[in-house]
Amino acid sequence: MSRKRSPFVFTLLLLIPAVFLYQILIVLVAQWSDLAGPQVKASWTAAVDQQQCLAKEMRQRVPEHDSVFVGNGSTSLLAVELAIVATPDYTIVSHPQDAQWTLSLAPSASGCNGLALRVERGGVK
Amino acid sequence: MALLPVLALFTLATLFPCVVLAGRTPLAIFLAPLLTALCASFAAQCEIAVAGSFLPWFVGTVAAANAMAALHWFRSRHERAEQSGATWVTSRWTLVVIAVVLCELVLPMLELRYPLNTVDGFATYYLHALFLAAGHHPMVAALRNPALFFMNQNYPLLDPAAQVAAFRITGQENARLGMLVMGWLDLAALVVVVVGLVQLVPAGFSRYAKVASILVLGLFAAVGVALDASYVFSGDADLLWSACAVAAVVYGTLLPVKRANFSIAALGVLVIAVTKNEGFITALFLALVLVWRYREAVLKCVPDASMVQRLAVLGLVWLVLTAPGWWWELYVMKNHLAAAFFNDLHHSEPPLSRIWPSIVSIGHFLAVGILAIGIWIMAPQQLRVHRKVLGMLPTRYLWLTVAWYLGALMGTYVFGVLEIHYWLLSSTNRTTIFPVLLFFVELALWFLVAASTYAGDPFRKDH
Repeated sequence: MSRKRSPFVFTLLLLIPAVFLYQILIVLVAQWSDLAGPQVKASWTAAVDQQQCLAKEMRQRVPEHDSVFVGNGSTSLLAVELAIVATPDYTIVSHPQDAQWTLSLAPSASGCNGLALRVERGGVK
Repeated sequence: MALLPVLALFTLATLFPCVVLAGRTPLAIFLAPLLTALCASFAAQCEIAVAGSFLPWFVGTVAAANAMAALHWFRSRHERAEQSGATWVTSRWTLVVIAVVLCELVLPMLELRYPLNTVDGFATYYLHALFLAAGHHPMVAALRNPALFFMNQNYPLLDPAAQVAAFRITGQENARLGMLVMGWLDLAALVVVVVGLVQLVPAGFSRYAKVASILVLGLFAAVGVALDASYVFSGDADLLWSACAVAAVVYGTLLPVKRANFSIAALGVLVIAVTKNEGFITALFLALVLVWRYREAVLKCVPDASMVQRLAVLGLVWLVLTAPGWWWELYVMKNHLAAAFFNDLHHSEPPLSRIWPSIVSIGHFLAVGILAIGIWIMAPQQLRVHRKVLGMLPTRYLWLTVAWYLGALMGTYVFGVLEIHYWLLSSTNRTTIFPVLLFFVELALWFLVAASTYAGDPFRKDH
């Protein structure tokens, strides 16, 4: 078979590895400081600590297996945090009038890593 | 360090079935975690559909997979004896490839091991995993609870199920452990893809051309990590389903018709059908392609069948490949779990006004596609003969898959009901990973063809 080493072939041999490297460099290297490093570890550790602190506080203030309503609204990230903290020891209900307790999270300097748990008996009327 | 026993058990639990499916190859080590995750997904479906808790179902599913493999291994002993010593892949080069890929991924694996706090990682997958770990009743109640709609109740179960399997192995429900396991599954899927691509490197390449090709193809895994950088170790399932789908394309359509290749492609299709909803849509098409390409091998089982019976057999194979995904999607439809995404009563914008923003946002991530299409059109004029001599199959199924997937993706954004700009902003970087990886496959193939012009003399020993 004849060999064909045209400029086009040469271009392909250079261009294709360059595109691979560009894709790797543009994302991994350019965003590396956002993806790795001590601040990511610190952020993760803080988030886990916060969840454990909130879970401990919730179990001290609300009897296990009671029904709870997440009072932060169902679209906020705080609601996600509360749902994780409440699972699986509490029953999360979708209507406030069905709940024995209403839980919510609010920013606080003295709470768990910047968040304080608020507990109210009964659903929001 | 709880990760190591988890990875060991994920691998050992289904290593034997993977060896039976794919042959005596180091690749089985990377297929096994994917098959274990698939077993976990079946276990989760059984937990939801029947009763009980996750662990008994998981153990039963893994045992069933091993029993079926043992049965197949026993029944095919005569066939193996005839092919003694034959392997479907050169082990030495496979080892080199795996070593290259693992070396290049050591840094990301070590440095990205602390997950970013992504919304989906916690709100969707970890929360699913917690309810799944709690048992049948809490899980079913959570899926139907409108207050928990932010956990995306319609998402398939492989990701949380794999996390729960890790929880059960270690005895601790640790978010980071689950996310690291998902990261390992991502990397295992990428290794499977790269090993498949390297099988396209002809035996007759000179050593330098082979090493250069392997290095470039090895970069594919790093490209995959780069495309999903923020989410690799955050418990998300986007890279997993995308890489498994690419594996299905590579093994199912670009490599020769062989039982091992079919098995790996089928495993890829089964995994993607239960990993993401867009994976299920893609699995419908890829299963069809697989059945079509392997129709002669399948129909050997029914040599005297009529045309209708043959079609029925092929349809049955297609149904088996997509069945786990169908089960979940029917459950979603029956329980209206996708109402937050598709509900005619709550359209925020008319569909027509959603088309252009969708095109712009998706197109932003498909820039490499312009290059891939350009080379796909231009390169055959110069290198058709080389490609033919290499015995490389055409990539029409690859492009048809891209077209099918992008069509489905556009349809989802246009006919979905979430506010379009926020939806696009928060998702197209991940929903476009699959087509972008396929573009890189096309580029990699043409690199091989171009490298063949420097491949040594004689050009190919087996021609």
